[in-house]
Amino acid sequence: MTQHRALTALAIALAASSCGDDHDPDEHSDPSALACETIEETAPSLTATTERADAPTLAVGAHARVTLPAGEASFVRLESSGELLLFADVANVVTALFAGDDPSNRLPAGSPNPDCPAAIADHFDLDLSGAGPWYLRLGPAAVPEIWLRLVSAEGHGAH
Amino acid sequence: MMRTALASSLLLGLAGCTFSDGTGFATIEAAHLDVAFEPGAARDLGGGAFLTSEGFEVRLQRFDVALGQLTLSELRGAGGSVTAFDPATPPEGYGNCHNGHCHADDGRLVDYADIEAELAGGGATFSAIATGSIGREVSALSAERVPIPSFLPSNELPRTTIERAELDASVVLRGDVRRHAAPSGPVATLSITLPTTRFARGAQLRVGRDGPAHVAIDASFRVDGALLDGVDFDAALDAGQLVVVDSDAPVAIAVLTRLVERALQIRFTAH
Repeated sequence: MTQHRALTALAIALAASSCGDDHDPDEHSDPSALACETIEETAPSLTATTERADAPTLAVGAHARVTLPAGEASFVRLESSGELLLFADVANVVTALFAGDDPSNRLPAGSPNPDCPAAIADHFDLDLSGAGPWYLRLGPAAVPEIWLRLVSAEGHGAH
Repeated sequence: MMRTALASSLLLGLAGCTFSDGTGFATIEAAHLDVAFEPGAARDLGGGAFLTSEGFEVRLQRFDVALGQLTLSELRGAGGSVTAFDPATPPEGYGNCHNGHCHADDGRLVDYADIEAELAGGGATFSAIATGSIGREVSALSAERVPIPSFLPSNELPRTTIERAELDASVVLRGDVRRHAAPSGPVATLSITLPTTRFARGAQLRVGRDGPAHVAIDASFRVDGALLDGVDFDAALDAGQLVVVDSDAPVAIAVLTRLVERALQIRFTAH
């Protein structure tokens, strides 16, 4: 009888451990691989603005569908600092990175996400050290929106 | 006596197998280079026009690429070999490494082979293993595939690790430009002539006793709508034209930098 109870308890424990969300964000140590899954999910909406001062904020760990003004450059403010990764589903929409009012473009060269190059056509290794606030310039572009994801660079690389 | 003769025959047979003329470890059985201008969704305005990052609308009538040769090279150190670095622990000056390149602290994407050459302290050089002559001018606007039927000294590859592909090419652009936000505003004609430049890209093909026996080469020279990003055409709109023939001109440097960073890609299919 005692053995039967123990087996039942074990079965319940095993069943419980396999329940719930199959998608565990922590199961991927590489943010590039995780981004390939995240792009399939519904993302909140943002609208980029033509004035930096009014730019909406993209937080670290967040993703968003960003609406772009037709044919004009627009801006999104990046939260936080340090080494970050930015993913974009359409290439050549992210066109510049500025620190505060400094006109120098700090955007490094982009490249497709090696884990899903067709879905995420651009990714950037951003070094946001120094004084902010940091602004991404988007466009001008011939597309009405872009998907963006901003994450910490920890765990990225070497594959 | 009989045993000695048999052993000698076996040795000679093996030697003949290893050193027979004209047979390498792998054969390049097919090779081609695709040349194309593809503006991409973010920049394609339709009707042959594309948008630049500075808000200019460019329409190209000509985008000619004169192709010289495609060279496949191995990296040779002063002592005969070069030690590969571990991408998991990039050397100083480089950050994340993946997909054959590392992100340099100054924002560049640098191929593994170039970092290995740098780590060798100048004692390493790229040495040509096979060179395919093309000698054709093609239009990137019509997206052409150019076959490369033969390589020198041979389509037979020796035991090697090919780590770099290089393409010699020159580019001519002709078209016009205007402000996208001012469709009825001034228009300037564009004439940009870039000198023959060696475009390089890191590659990875190991050829040895274990294979591969056959190799196909899929190379491409693809240019996207970011080709003229960062170029301010306001002065050209005032003058009505922009003519660039000097490779040191800022416009030439901007375009060449873009082409060098992105245009050449190479992929090997080995079996």
